[in-house]
Amino acid sequence: MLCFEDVSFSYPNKKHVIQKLSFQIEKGEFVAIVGPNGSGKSTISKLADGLILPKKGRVLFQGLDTKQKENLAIIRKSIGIIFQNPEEQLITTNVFDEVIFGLENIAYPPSEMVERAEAALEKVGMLPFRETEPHKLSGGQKQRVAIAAILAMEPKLIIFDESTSMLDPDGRHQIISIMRQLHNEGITILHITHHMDEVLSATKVIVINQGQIVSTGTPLEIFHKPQMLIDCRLELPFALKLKMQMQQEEVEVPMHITDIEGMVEYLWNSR
Amino acid sequence: MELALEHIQYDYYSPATREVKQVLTDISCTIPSGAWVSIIGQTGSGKSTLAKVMQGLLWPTVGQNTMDGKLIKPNKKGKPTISPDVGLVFQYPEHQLFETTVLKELAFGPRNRGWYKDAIVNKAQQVIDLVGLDASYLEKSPLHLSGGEKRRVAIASVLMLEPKILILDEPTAGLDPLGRQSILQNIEEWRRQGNHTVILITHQMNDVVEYAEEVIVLHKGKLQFQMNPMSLFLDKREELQSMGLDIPDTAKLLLAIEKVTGQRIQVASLKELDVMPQVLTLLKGRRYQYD
Repeated sequence: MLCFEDVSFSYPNKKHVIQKLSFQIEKGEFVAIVGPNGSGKSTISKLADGLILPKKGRVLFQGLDTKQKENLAIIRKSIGIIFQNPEEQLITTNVFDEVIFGLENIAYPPSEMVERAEAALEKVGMLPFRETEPHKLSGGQKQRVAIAAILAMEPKLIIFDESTSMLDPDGRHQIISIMRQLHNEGITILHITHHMDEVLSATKVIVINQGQIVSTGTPLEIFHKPQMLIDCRLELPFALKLKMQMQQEEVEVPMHITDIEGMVEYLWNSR
Repeated sequence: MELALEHIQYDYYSPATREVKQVLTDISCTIPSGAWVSIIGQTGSGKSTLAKVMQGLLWPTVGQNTMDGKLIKPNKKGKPTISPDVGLVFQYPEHQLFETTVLKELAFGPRNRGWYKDAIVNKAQQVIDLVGLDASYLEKSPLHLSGGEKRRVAIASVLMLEPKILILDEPTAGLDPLGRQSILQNIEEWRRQGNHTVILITHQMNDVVEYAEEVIVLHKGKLQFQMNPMSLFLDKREELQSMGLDIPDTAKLLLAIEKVTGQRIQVASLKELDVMPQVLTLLKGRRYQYD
């Protein structure tokens, strides 16, 4: 669906932010891209949607090259992006208008607009707040409205560009569970983050550092390369630190156990 | 310097809805001199308002603040007085950077207080070091710095005025794990060097146990607990959960062990370095028992 082929990108007078990056996201996948601050993560989302163009290589969305201007309208209609700061995404005076705004811009038939907007708000559990002013919402709720506004446009791919990093733990859980739900409904998800504990729901994880791919695999495969994660300034989930320490004593814990309670129970009760 | 709050109530009047909302209700607490105190609570629990009341930026509707036993009074015109001894680093402080160089940014506060130029430059060199940057940053434009570096400059600009108490409102939100740890480490060094007091507002429970000696829990504008992190997280898990608050990983680990063994391991603190070795010893012992 989304394909980066040998993509390099740099801002004027700066060294390369992205270097010869190649990866593919297939339809229906839930891909997490993780990397430290400044690793080029957010540049990837801008490249995907043609907001910036590669200096070298190509970015293709469903076979359409972002370098061709005539493709951009279709690409941007098919990709929705949720940004980091919930404060900077909402512009209207109530939640419902926020969702309508996008539909008006794509000249959606007015007779079906209300139904479509309500369905989108329902999906993220924000329908009861339809008349609420955005500034009265919590960060997590604002992000949910932003997601509804994008869902109404029926995107094929949604990119969450560090959209959990400004939220409190409760808000983060809300957004992660919506991501899972949308993925189950068949929407392709790209989640960009530096929180390792958020990638467990993904089907594929891509670790990037200094503009290059360091590792690709399932969350469990990635979690079992602790040194690589440390080198990339990422933090191991606590349960895995415990697992590593036990491994040094030649005690193996099955790969699928990734939570603290499960690990303690296994270590105490198994032989 | 000891900061004490007595029966603080803060009402917020919203001109739009013409409603008065009580943001803080009857809060009394003492922040001991030289301590690191963390304030936790869900979004909207009143943490940021409490920080502003502590600094004197907001004047409480009811109640009073004292510093080292001295009552903080409004000035002659009846306006709030901001204590120069209390520095406050707001949320996302990088949004407030506006000067063309880091040095000018740092000089802004002291210049308004009539400091000599030499004194400003000397102090700037000192604080830029404290926040983990070097003197070469002084001539750079704040706009060209990374998110983490901007955050450090904003903290440095508050340290310029030599506060005795530093309040930080989620200073590491949005930073990657290493950036987060290194900023907190720098603040801890500053605290130790001058017997300064640190009040940290955070959602990161793991950071709370690594640094705080005491934790204040706010819920719906009320102070629910003020106690040491170990008793709080091990004994009040259910209460915290009902307030929508999580507990740190080390506490989860200890409680999980308690569940399978029926006994609580004695640890010096909930810091990872204090908890992990104890747990490993126990779990390894169990393995050898089987062998």
